[in-house]
Amino acid sequence: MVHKEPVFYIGGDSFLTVELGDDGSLFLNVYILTLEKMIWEAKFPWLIDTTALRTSIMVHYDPFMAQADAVLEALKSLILSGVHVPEKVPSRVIHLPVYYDDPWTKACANQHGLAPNLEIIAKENDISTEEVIRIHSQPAYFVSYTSFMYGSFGAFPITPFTVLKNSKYKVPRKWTPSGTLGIGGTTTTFYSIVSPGGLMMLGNSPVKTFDLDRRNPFFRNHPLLVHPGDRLRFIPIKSKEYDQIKRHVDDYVYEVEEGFIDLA
Amino acid sequence: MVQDLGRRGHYSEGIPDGGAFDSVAFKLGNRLLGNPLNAAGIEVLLGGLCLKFLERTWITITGADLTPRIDQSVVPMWRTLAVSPGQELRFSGRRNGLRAYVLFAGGLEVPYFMESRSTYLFLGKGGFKGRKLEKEDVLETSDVSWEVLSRQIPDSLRPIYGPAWEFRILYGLQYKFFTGESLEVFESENWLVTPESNRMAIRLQGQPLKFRQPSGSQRRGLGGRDPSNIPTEGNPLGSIQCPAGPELIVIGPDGPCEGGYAKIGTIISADFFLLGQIRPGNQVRFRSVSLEEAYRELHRQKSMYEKNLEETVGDIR
Repeated sequence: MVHKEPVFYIGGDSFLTVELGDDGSLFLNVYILTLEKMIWEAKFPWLIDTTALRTSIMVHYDPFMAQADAVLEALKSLILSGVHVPEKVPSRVIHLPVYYDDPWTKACANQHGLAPNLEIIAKENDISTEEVIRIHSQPAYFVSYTSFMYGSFGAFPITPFTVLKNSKYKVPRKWTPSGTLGIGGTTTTFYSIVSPGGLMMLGNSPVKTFDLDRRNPFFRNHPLLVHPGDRLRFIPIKSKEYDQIKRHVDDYVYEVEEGFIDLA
Repeated sequence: MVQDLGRRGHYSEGIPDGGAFDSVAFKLGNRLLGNPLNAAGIEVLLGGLCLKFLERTWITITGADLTPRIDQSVVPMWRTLAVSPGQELRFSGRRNGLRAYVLFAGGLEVPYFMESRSTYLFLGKGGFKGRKLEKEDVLETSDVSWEVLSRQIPDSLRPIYGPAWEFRILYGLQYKFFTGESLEVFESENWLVTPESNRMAIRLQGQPLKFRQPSGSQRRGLGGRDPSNIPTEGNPLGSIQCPAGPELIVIGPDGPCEGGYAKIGTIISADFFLLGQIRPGNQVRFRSVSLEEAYRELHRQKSMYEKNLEETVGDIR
């Protein structure tokens, strides 16, 4: 659901956050991405940056060009002029191989004094780890944002799915292996770079989600694999296939289908 | 490490702005040399740098006073210095602040990464080979087509680095999540800077802040079960995240672009640079101000760079 009136929050003297809704639904996300595009197309002279997430957009503005009240008014009238969410939205489907229950995230969990995270989730939901993998890898996911870190994504299921109960780390991890797929609530997040983190770790992907040195020809036109608005399929793989892909990662052929999401 | 004033417009790709943490000291140094304000220089943390000059040039040292010496003599900061081949610059003890800046006539010549020469360590890109400087690295400066003047920043324009640290903030974002009492605690507490602080975030310890009862809206549930959890949203520079514990996390120039903890407010832009000069063990306080004051301070600060600089007699070798 989209709020009848957007809610604005002051983020200091150079940032303004606009909350557009509160359910994090597919419709709200497409609405937010449509609005973000409109904000850039309006060519506001004070616009520096935008960060769209599941319920809000943060706008970074130049306080020497406009102050908070002027930015708020401009955004409000843009929103109230109408955000036309198309019924058919172009959206690619990207297949991402994932080695669930891999040894690296297990070792990482162990170093932080925890059981393999997949076992924790299995126990919390009273099912087997195989069942957790099946449930997690079944639906298609919508990429809501990629601002967590370079090459990352935050995605949520958009086809029928079973909710996996899970909770975040009480004390965040000092590090997370790169390539780790994590889960927090209904959001699945990707740690593209070794970094601290607090989400339960599900598995690891052998492929690159970014390639700034453009070693893999797939990245010829853009160094990022995933963009907001894309859809994802997580394809379970085993250790042998993982090793094989990892060894020839710069020759890996990505499976990407062009397509549409039908919102009607 | 090598820094300029950072990059803009890459938050959606997870790339923070970066750039010199104490941008005021950085810009004043470049002004002294006649450089563009954005010319690349070196950010020195606690004096861990020794530079040997291979050619005659002009430099200036601004920011934290880490007792810079050229060969044996202590040299003044905030003024242009002529240096000759064979001379060595080192730092011999902290007097105040945390980060000093060494700026060079013409600026350092390193490749751009996303429109900036700033080092972004997390990704290992930008600056000099995407990393901190190491022994025997050789840096080059751009050509200088102007005459560098012997001059200095007047005392009245130099920032004051402690011993008391107060940051002006604007309430906003999730400040309504906190009890009225907690807002008072927030402004009266002496927050202790912890050793986990770095360019990504400054971490402060004090009393845990209390949250109001969750409103039960869907919005809360989406981010997590604790009242400090929110659906992820953008992190303004200098915004103050409040996890459930007794710690505050203030977002620095290399900080994450988004996060899922409630934010009580944001440090005003005119005070953000000072965050780069506090160090573990310092105590800081917060004071809320109005938006009008925040904008007034920002304009006052900008006019500083437009003021005349003092000419000095001769130069120091």
